[in-house]
Amino acid sequence: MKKRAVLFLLPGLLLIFILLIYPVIRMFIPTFTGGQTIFSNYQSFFSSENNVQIIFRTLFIAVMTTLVTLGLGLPTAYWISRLSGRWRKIISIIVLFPILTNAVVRNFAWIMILGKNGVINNFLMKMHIISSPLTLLYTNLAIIIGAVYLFLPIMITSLVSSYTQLNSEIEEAAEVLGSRPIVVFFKIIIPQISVGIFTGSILVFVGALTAYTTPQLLGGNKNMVLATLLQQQSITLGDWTSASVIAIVLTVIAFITMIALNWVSKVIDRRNSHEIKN
Amino acid sequence: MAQIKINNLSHSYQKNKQILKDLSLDIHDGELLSILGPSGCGKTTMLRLISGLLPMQEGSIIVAGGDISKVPVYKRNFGMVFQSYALFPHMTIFQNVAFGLKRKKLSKSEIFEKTLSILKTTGLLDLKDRMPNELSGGQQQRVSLARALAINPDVLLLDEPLSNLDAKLRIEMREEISRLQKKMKMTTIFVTHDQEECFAISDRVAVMNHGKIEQLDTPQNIFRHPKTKFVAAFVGYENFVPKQWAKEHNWRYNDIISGSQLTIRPEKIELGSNENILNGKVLVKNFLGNNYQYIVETELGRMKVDTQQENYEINDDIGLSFSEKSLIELEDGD
Amino acid sequence: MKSKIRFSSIVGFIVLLLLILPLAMVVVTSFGTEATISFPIKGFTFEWYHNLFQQPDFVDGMKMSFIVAIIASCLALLVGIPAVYALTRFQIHRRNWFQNIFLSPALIPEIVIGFALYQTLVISFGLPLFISLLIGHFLLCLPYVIRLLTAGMLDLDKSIEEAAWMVGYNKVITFFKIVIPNIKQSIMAAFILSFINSFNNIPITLFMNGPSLNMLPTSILNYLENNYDPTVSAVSVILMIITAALMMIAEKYLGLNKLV
Repeated sequence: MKKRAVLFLLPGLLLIFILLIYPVIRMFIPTFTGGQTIFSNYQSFFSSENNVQIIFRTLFIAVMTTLVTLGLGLPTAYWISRLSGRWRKIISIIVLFPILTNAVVRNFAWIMILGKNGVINNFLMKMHIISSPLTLLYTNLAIIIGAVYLFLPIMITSLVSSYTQLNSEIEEAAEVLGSRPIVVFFKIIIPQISVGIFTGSILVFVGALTAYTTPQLLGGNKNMVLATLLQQQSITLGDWTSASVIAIVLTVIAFITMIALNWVSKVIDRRNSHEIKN
Repeated sequence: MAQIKINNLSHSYQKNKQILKDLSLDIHDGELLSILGPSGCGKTTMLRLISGLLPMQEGSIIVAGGDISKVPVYKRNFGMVFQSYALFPHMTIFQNVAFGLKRKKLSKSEIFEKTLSILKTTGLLDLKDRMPNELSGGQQQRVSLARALAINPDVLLLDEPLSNLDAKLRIEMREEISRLQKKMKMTTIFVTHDQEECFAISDRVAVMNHGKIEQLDTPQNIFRHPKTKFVAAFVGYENFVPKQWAKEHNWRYNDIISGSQLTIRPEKIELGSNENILNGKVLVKNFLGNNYQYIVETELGRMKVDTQQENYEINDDIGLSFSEKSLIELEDGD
Repeated sequence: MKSKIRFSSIVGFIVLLLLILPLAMVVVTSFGTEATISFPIKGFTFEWYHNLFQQPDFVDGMKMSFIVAIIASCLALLVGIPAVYALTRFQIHRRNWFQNIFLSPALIPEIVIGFALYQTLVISFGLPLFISLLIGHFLLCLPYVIRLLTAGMLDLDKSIEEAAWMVGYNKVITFFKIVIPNIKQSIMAAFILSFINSFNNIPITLFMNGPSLNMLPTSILNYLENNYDPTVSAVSVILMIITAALMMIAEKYLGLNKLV
């Protein structure tokens, strides 16, 4: 490698190694020492029913968020990709604006909507559909709603860029051959935008998995997830070893899903290009 | 002004991929020399070594008596025209052309005058305040040429400058290059894979293959007397005949070259039924506009024939005849 | 064909409403006269905006978040620009590895980064909170800079640099006179995106703010734990205005697609 290349890359590499990689590795080490075996800390973490429940809740929320954003994102992005000119621009701004708005603001809006005296309860009470307010806030559902609101624009953006590259002639060809629109959608369009689906799903799943603000504001103390548990163990309780164990569990789950979804996406993509070749 | 001597130039990428093999070449002062070859033959590598964009590994390059092997690219004072035009997108045409002059120790008014004069010479005066993306491909290439000439370079290097242009512009632009080159008497190296454009404007042509120069001569001599099978094929000789076979049939040719092959151009072969030298069967018949091209299967393999005769059809048995003077002897390449 | 478009446009329209309405409600409630947030509002007042500027946590937090976001984005550009230049212009063995190392801050969960930095930088190295916070935000910004600038550099014809060398400019001057002016848009886009993400960040900031170091998003978070009055709506509106302003700049000079 050229000397100049080293000179250009070195400052960044050094900073990342000293300020990121080293602290992360340092955080990992104590979780394997100090117990009877190297996995003692993990054994005790996973033996707590509460912790296991939190892991499952975290995963459940991430999965649901991904599925709902996909369900809403696929038609929305299809619609946007068929628009052009001024409307497309206006709608792109509407989609982009929430992404760039503070997460506290976005979750705060849902506190207003879901709270005991919130918009939904007020409305239902006024219409005499219910007599006492429903518990909507501080539930898993609230976290999922908040996370969907947070990540839907990201899913839409990934899907729109995929749809835009789509060859619409293939779609038309299938329709000319007499396939029903719904069949065309699942058999022709979905496989072609699989890359966008997977990119969007990775971003949304990992984002929802590791999100802190949404479960903190909309989940309350009863509905903890790994991120809020990590914050509680470290900042509130000062139990650093437990917090580190949680950090590793969270990081590992995030990495595994990223690698797995990337791998599936590549396999599907290769299969698609293979089909076209034949 | 500048005579270039290239001595024993070798170059390889990675360890075992040799691009140039011990290549030597003299370029006369003020001549336009073309380097002609297929992609991957090493012609671009050679040009980049001369320009200094690629660091030299082995050999030396002497320009006007001085060794420039270790002179950095920005001190060589060579002009270069790129295949992609490579205009500076954020500058006007005037600024593009003046950019190089600003490095010279010149007053502002001198820079202004010189830029205007080169814009005038290249016919770009009306476009001087436009931005590059507002220009057509041909105009952009003209600016690229003006920018290279503005610094009054010792050597002008042209890297496939016409290949992104359409057919009509190509002819216009190559004539422009030729006109300016003769006017300024500038030593010029023109790299191309198109034999027609290089024959039209070159003083001499170096045909390159696999990192070596196969033949260096005037366009006329290369066209009439290709030395090797590679050169012959590259300049349009489609048909090859083993010398041994010709000897057995008492063909007359000069027999002064030691090679084992003879070649003949497709338009030198006649089709007919008597006085045949070779018999065959028509495989393909194509209408090419000025003439027809037949591909004929013979005992020597497939022969291509360009002729005005149109009354033969596929599967017809026909005879091929040609004047023995049309046969050209080839050296064996490696 | 038609039915599919009709179906997707109905869903799309509802989705857009769902995206806008909650934020629109926040705007409306910021003008309400009641002491707790209610929708629809009764009366109209600017009192909460007035109150907002009486809260030292919000005012100081706003200033500090601005300062941190600007410094962190600039640092990320300073480190990122040469790195991207090397990654896109030099022949580098295992280029992908280096690329991934530079993107690694985006692969590790932010809250984990915050926790790890707090342990090592603040506790072990004893760095001041402000410096540690800056480092955290610098790491946050770096992947955005790397991603956007790499795209910008790959769009730029390498020959224009060579053309500048050929007419007599050395590589350093060429970098400043030719490369920088032509990736200006990517630099701007990277700055805006870095700024917004730093300004809005919570998970990293959470670990490194304190009584002496107020950041706006965490201040709002703390405020929300004890209060539920329209001041939060008002500060939210201010944040939305900042976002909108940055988007307008981006749209005017770069085109919004540069940001995604």
